[in-house]
Amino acid sequence: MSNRSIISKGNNVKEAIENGLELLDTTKANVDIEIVEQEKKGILGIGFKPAVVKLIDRRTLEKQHPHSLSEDDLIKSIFSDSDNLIGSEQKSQISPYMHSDQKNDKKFDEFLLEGDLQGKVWIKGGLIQCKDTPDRYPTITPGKGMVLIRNGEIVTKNTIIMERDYLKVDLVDESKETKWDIRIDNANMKAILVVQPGYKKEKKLVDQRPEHHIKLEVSETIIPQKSLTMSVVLDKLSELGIVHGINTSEITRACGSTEAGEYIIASGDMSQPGTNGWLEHKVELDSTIAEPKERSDGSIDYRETKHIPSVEVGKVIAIIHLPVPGKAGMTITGVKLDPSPVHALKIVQGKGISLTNDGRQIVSTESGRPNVEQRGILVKVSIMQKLYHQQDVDLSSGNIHFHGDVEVTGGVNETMKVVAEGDALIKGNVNMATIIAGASIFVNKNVIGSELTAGKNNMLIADMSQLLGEMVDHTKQLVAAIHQLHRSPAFKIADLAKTGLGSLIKLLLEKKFGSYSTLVKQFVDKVQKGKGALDDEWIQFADLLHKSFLIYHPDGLKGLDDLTDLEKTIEQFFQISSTDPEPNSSITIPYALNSQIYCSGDVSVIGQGCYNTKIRSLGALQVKGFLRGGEYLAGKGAVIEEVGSEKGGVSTQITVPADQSIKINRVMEDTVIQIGKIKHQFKEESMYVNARLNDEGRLQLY
Amino acid sequence: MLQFQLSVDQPKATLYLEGDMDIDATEIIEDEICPVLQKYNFVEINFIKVRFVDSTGIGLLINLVQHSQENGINIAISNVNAEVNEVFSLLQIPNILGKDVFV
Repeated sequence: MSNRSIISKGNNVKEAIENGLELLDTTKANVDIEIVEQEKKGILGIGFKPAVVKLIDRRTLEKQHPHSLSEDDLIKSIFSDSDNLIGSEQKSQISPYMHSDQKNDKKFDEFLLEGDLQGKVWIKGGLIQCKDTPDRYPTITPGKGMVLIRNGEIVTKNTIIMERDYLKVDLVDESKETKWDIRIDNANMKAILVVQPGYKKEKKLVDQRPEHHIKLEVSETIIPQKSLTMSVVLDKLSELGIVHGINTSEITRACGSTEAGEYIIASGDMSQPGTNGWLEHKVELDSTIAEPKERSDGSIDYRETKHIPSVEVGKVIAIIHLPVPGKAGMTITGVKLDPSPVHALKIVQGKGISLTNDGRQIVSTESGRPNVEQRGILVKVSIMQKLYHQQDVDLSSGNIHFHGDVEVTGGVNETMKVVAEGDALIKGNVNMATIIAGASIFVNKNVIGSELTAGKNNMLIADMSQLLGEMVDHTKQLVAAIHQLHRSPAFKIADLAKTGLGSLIKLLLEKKFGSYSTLVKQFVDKVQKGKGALDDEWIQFADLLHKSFLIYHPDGLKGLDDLTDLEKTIEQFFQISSTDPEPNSSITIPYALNSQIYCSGDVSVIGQGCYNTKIRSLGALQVKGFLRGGEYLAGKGAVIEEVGSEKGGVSTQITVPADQSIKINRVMEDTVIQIGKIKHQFKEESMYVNARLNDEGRLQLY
Repeated sequence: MLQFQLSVDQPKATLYLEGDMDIDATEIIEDEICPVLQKYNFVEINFIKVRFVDSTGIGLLINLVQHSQENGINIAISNVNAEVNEVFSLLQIPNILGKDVFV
């Protein structure tokens, strides 16, 4: 505890005392006055010396004298109290505090001891200290991040300081709380802890050596705050209902982190999908097409290009494998995730096959070509008999219709028709004729002015998928409306037992579901048209729809259960129609002119090429020769040797869906290609074109 | 069982129905009510005492109204209670017969 004293100067003693009192902001009564030196009047100002007095304040001013605290206390008080007051040394001697620290900072202190401190300011241990002289006052400049207060006034510029000044530096410590949040993904499969650890920025005046002028500087120390704890996170998780798949080691990591980050602290288990039932083929099913052989004279032999598999009676054609259910998963909120249901194969027995007693094996009861048609879980297996027609198909032989494969050794002549449920193999020319095959068509010679259709039922069925999709939606609404009516207190249902649902459905279709009958009519018409190519089940299905919704026949829907069953059936047929068939149809020809070719699978032109022909292939189109004139549509992309004609004139267009590509080795001018909705016409001959849409949906040719 | 009463104030007649308009009312509606209505220019069918309907009954009503309208008779349906009206709305009967039929 010490008293505050100042040395004050003035032109005379009285003025010096007044100056001192003003600085101390006190009155004579509160101070002891010591006259150190009387003024000396010089001559013309030369030799003048001011009066010097010493004023000792009798009031105790402990607060202004932090020297009395230990250094540790001082640092603590700086950190805990940003309003820390830094007193300037006002004694003419260096304060005892400065001496006390010699061991730690010997050089500095030695410098202080030995150096010339007159008129200098220095900073030691965060305190500003100075020694002014009558002819020189030290100056300081406040730095960034601090507020310098001199004698109660904020100083922003260079300022002189005196020992008697009260200097205060406000250093605002910055701190930031730890921020954290738990995010859950939409599927409730992941909880992510997002942490931004808080910190404290501690500021301290930087010590500086004695100088006449110093700029105050502040040092910052960032201390990360690990305030997040495991139990807080766990509490939040349970509040969010997260109970499954919690990863405590990640939480520990997140809590201990000093940097912002994201941590997956809980993850659910996805359900593991099972496998549907499947069919293991025990015999060769696919016809293999060998490369055509070149004869010694350079011409090509197209006759030996195909190998057709066949089986004897009693042969195991395929083994039916049962579905394997998947494994259930669980979300982080503990909801069980059932795997998508698995389905057993539904086997439709065609001609010439039988199932073993356990229903696991398919065995041939006739010899012939094994044929498996698969569409989703629906599998139709049959043995195709083969009809050999050893001559031309012409007026003398008549048209050929056969429930099996047909092989014609000769050609098919004008206006004649060959319809095969299985494959059709024509070794001669097809001239102005029609060939329809349930599976594949192979023609060894030329196709001229003819129509070839392979896998027609598949195309029909695919066509109906949109209609069936709409019917599924409408049927659901219809069933819902009927349930709603049943709940109406004023609605009696006794008549339905007598008349069937007909009268009710008629009422509903009259207005509320007016568009439903239109849909059903379109569907029934389509099935009627495709009657020849479609299986019986489609015909029966269309018949039931006709009875139920078009003529309200009493045999149609007898009760609500029938309608629910029908709803399921419609859904099944929709699924069948929207599932791509296993590709079991293809067309292979060497040459076509002015013809129309439709195929639900791939089309291969393995010879010279096509003139003015229209090909619609739901599979891939492969042409080893040229395409000159005509329209070519390939559902799974096209690979063509040459397109267009050198003289121009005939237009040739190749179209594929947006996700497919067209490859052409040589493309002539005026050829049009279309991918998705984007069309491009070639202005000049180009080589090695590979056209596809890029990610932005733009056409890319390279 | 459906019963009816006809109150005539030429050229208008009011048909008061009582009971359930259901399959059992087929004969009454087709053989008795329908022929009688054809004699008047304006007919109001009062539903105040009809408490239940079924799909056959509603079908009969539609036929009755449409047949009469074809014969140039103005038909109005009145005082349908809330429960029956709910059934009518579900089946969109007002849309079938014309909204102005319901008064």
